[in-house]
Amino acid sequence: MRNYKAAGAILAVSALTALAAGCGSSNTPSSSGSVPAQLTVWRMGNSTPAQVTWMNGVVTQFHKAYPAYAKTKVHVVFVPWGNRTTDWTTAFSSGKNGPDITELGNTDTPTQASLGMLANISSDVHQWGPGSNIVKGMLANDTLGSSVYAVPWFGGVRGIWYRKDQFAKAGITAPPASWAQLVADAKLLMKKNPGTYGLGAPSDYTNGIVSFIWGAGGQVAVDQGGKWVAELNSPQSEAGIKFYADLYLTEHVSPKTYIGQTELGAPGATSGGSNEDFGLGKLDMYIDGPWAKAEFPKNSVDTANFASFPIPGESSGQSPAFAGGSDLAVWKLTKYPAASWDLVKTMDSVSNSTSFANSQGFFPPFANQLTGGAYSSNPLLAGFAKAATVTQISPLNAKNWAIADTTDAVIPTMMKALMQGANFTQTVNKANAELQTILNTGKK
Amino acid sequence: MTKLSTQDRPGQLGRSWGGPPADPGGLPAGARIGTFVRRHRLAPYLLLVPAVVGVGWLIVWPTIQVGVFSFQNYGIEQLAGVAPTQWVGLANFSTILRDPEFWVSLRNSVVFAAVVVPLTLVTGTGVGLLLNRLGRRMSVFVSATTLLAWATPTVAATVIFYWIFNPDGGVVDWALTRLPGWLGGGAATWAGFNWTSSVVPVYTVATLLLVWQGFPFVAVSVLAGLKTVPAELYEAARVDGAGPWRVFRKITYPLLKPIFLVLLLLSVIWDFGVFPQLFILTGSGANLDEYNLGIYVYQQAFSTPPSYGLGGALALVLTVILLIITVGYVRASIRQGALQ
Amino acid sequence: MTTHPGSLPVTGLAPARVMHARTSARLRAVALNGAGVVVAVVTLAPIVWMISTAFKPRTEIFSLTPHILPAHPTLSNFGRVLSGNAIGISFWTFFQNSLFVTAVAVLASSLLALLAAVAVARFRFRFRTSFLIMLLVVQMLPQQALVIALFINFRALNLLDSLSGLALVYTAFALPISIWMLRNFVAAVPREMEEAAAIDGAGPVRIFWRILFPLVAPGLVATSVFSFIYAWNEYIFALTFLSPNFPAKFTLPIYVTYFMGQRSSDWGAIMAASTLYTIPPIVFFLLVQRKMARGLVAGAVKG
Repeated sequence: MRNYKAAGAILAVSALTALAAGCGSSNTPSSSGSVPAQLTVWRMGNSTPAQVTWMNGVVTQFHKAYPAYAKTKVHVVFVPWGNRTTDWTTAFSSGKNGPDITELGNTDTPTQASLGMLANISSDVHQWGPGSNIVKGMLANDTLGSSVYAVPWFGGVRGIWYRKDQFAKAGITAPPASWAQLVADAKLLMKKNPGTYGLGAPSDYTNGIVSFIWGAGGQVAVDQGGKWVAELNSPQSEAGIKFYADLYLTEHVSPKTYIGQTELGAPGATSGGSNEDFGLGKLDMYIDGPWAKAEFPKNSVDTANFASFPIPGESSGQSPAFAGGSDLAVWKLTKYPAASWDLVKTMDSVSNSTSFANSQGFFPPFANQLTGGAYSSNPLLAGFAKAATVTQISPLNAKNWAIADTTDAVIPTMMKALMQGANFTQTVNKANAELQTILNTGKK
Repeated sequence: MTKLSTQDRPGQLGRSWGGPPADPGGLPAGARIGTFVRRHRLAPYLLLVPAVVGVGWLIVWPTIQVGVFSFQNYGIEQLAGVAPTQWVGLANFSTILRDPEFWVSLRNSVVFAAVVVPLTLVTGTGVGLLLNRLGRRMSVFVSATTLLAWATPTVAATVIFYWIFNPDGGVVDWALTRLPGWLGGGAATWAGFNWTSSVVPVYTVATLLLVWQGFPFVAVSVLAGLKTVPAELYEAARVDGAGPWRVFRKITYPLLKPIFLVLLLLSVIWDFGVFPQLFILTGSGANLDEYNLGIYVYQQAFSTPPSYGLGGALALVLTVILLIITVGYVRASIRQGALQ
Repeated sequence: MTTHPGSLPVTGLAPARVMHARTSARLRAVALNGAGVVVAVVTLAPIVWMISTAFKPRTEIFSLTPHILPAHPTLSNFGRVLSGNAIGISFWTFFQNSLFVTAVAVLASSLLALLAAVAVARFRFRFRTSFLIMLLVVQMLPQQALVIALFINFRALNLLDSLSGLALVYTAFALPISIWMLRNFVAAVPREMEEAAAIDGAGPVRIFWRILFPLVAPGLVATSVFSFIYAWNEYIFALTFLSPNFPAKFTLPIYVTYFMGQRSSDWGAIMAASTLYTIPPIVFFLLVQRKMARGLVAGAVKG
């Protein structure tokens, strides 16, 4: 009798402790590992005062939540995006001077995990309270086989930026719900605002183009039993590709200058491109995510009327948007996996990830945050939040996707050729064959 | 009419420095010199040791290692020691030769070098000739400014040229749109003209950039060479009534030939596989039709996941191509005694 | 028609022809000076653009019509660069690191190259031609291919994360071209001077320092300029060998990458950094260019 009561009491206390742990009060470390003198965190990009403040706040929480680590210093290192591959490779290969925790662009995670650089944190994630709340598609991106190698930290999707007053003046009462309406609205806006273009369609914009492929019901590539089969030349995919190319070729709602450019313009250029044109009022509708806000020129016009809506489906609904963002992972070679995971949990707590994401124009990775209405009252973010409910990642998280997209630029090259007048079927078939070979073998 | 040529003054020009001088005949001095050389037979080797060690350890040995990689499947796992290296024979080489992008890059590299090298040499020679004629102060001023171009770091220079040719807000497009139509200008063609989205425009910009960066070196070398030409040669030629072109052909050019050949060789090597400038101008690898071999090597070897075996094979292929191109010159130099 | 100032033909010309020759000589001088100015202006134009942009605020950098001078010049770009806030370390740390590595590379490569050049230019020995050809061939190898092999070697020797290791690499890579150039300069020094000294009883070391070295000094300065610019600009080895965990060891080329974002870059800061960054090579260059002109004059043509 007494044993049962004691057992029950113990269980109750444990449950309470676990609950308390989820709420962030005093904790013991995840497992009895040694206490590190210092933990090194690799962040991507470069330091800004806002980020330093945020991180200092997180470290204070970390020390309070895990008294055992009260003396542990947290050393934050910023790695410019262009240097990250070299830095990861050399740290991994030399076995020295790696991080304990690293941020990764979510498209980097599958590759880095497959190269063995990230620690397997499957059991940690399954035991983590908020873990079950993570948007399924985002967590799937960080999973290889059945093992989890990273946790999503923040995410973002693309939608279409527009100006409310322009829509009102043109008599457009609701965002377009189909591609045909989208083009019609673009042309109408061009008529009402002479000298502008309706909808920007840069050719070097894989992450935007895929929405149209998916929106038409096609796929870029599918994993059939371990082997990738590219499907750019399926009728549905081709419909999406053709629609995007035609925005310039036949509908003339996108200017010629965007051929060969990304959404920010020619790589390395100081001006031009759809982002700047939208800000300056020369483009009426612009495909990008909420993070684009940081890129608009300082002399942008009419910014109070910025708003967004999801990319419509071909005939109804929404086109799936590619979910970009960053993940956090524990470095495989770290000496303190337990402490590192504890710090990750702190950085990625619901409140911390939300505050961080909001400051950057992204969304936290937790489903209930997205659907909970926190964003629906914000006219600018409401559209993006809605877009974030219909997302897809695959095959952009494939092991060899970086080779297909960044190294060999299959889709940008294809779209550029199409917009320059190349034969449609030939070009798409060629790109399709190339994509399949690269996804399967890593080489052309 | 005496014909003047370099052959008339063998002692001063084109002297070969091989071997000890002929014994002048005076016994004590000759014997002394002979003993000096004989006693110090090891001297050249001793003097060479530090340089040979440096080059051998840090350049030659890594080259051999890279050669070995090219026959293996060397990647990150092998680099980190978590997976063993495996021999793949000629697989890397055949991957390269079967890749159409390799041939595109090769074509671009060859055509580009064929344009840039002569342009750089001609421009540099022209400026060198000019500098030779200028008064002292002016010559120093102009040579200093040209060397400023050479000293500007590559990335900064490339970005500047990128901006100058920017479709939005770049000086060149702005100026070309304001040119009258009969000069080939006008807004229709040139407004927002994108110089980096296709091969010929981007290589035009790259040509201007590399010539701008490369001609100062040529100019100063040529100037130096010209300054060693004795004034009497020119005067005698003029007394004989030779025109400027003949003077150039018969006197200047033969004297400068050794320099030209060195500069030609170095320029070909540098411009053939030039990397940072082209990489930045072509959008950091975004435009495959614009690749040259420098970019191609970088992309194959350093993208994610990197394949060092493939990169090594590429490096070897590149070196062999350059060797083939330059072997003719090297043989000629040896025959001409430049390497003696 | 050639003109050599002060070398007009002397005999048997009518005064009218002398007058004509003098006027056209003056005209020619004007034309040449004009050409010189044109060359200087065209060459300087891009650099002026770089400096001007460094002083422009962001709105002006993005302007649609190019203006050569900033309407509202600002020092904020320079401020961002010099403060080092992007990493949290002062610009001068990186400057010192670059200077250290470059100085070591220049001094070491000049010395080693000079010794090797003396060997190659003054002596005849078995592997002479092969050595020279090898020096030529190693210049054909793309450096990016050698990075990984060097990384492996340095990793084994624990030379990673050290500026000294970097300096070693720069020294080695500056050697081939330095040896090739110095060879000519050494060969240009008249052998008679050395022979005279030998007859007077001077040993080889004395000959080297008292006779050869001073005459070769201009040539040494020339090769040091090449080495300086090479080491100062070098990026790939620096990025590979220095871990981001110790940003205090970065060299200037790595620092500039911190202003290049994932999707866009801080161009004002990049141009300001580039401007600051060109000053030391140019200063070094202006200081030595007089000796350099002499040095090249002495050595370039022979051989």
